[in-house]
Amino acid sequence: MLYTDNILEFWVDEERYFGGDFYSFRRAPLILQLDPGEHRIEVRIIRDVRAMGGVGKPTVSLTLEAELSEGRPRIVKESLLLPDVVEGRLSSSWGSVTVRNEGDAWIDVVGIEAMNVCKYFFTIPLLMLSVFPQKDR
Amino acid sequence: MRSNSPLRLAPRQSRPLALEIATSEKNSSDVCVEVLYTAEHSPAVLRIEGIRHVFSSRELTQPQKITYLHPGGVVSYAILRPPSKKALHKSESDTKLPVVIGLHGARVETDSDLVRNTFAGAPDLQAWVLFPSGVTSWSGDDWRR
Repeated sequence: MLYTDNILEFWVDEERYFGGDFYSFRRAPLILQLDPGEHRIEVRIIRDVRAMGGVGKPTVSLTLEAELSEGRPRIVKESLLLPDVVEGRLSSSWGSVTVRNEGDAWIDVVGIEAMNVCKYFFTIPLLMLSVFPQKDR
Repeated sequence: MRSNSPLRLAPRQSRPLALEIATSEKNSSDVCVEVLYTAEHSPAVLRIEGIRHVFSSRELTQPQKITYLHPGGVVSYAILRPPSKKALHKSESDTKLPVVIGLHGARVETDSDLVRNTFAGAPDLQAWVLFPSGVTSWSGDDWRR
């Protein structure tokens, strides 16, 4: 898995990827299969002046982080969003979690199980694409 | 917008999964979330290793996280700061208190002490204060428009 914080455009072994994790959300890293040996990563370095109004030194900070994947689907722990419990009761009933398919086969998520959870629902995929186009790699 | 068709993921794809919690009588302080899936060419239902979540427990008048279904189809959250007991006493019994909406700037994480304590200097404000997360701290809901 390749995390590309603050990077918009990069190449891995001359294959171009546009749509890096420019805001470091770390929600959908690039998952690659690389043969043993050397590989080349090239990065187009850009800086967003808008965010700080041109204040400070013109430095750029970016992160490239590679992590070994187990090659199968998993739940992204940091992505679990659940409401607070207020005086013993859940403040609301919605939650979400990111599922990451690190394997090579298509998968269908068919259910969620937890204490106090007995049903699930899914949004229409097309709407998901229009809101977060970068997430569907 | 609800459908019971499975959430399909291509190889190497990440997707958010919305879920609705049905409360039972026994409310636990923690929960373990496991996801069930099938892989192509096989009918077997497999499990993804579960993750444990400990719920944050708040008092009624403390800033609290509420989640909701965003029109975009994902689940988003806001921090809700109810009026204090003093604020409620000060106002007449059948008055509806106004809602103040606090819109964060770029890169501010809504689920933070910074945001939760924003009105610490006005503890008895006679209002409900709502801080939407805007889906992400950088983009999502664009409330400049």
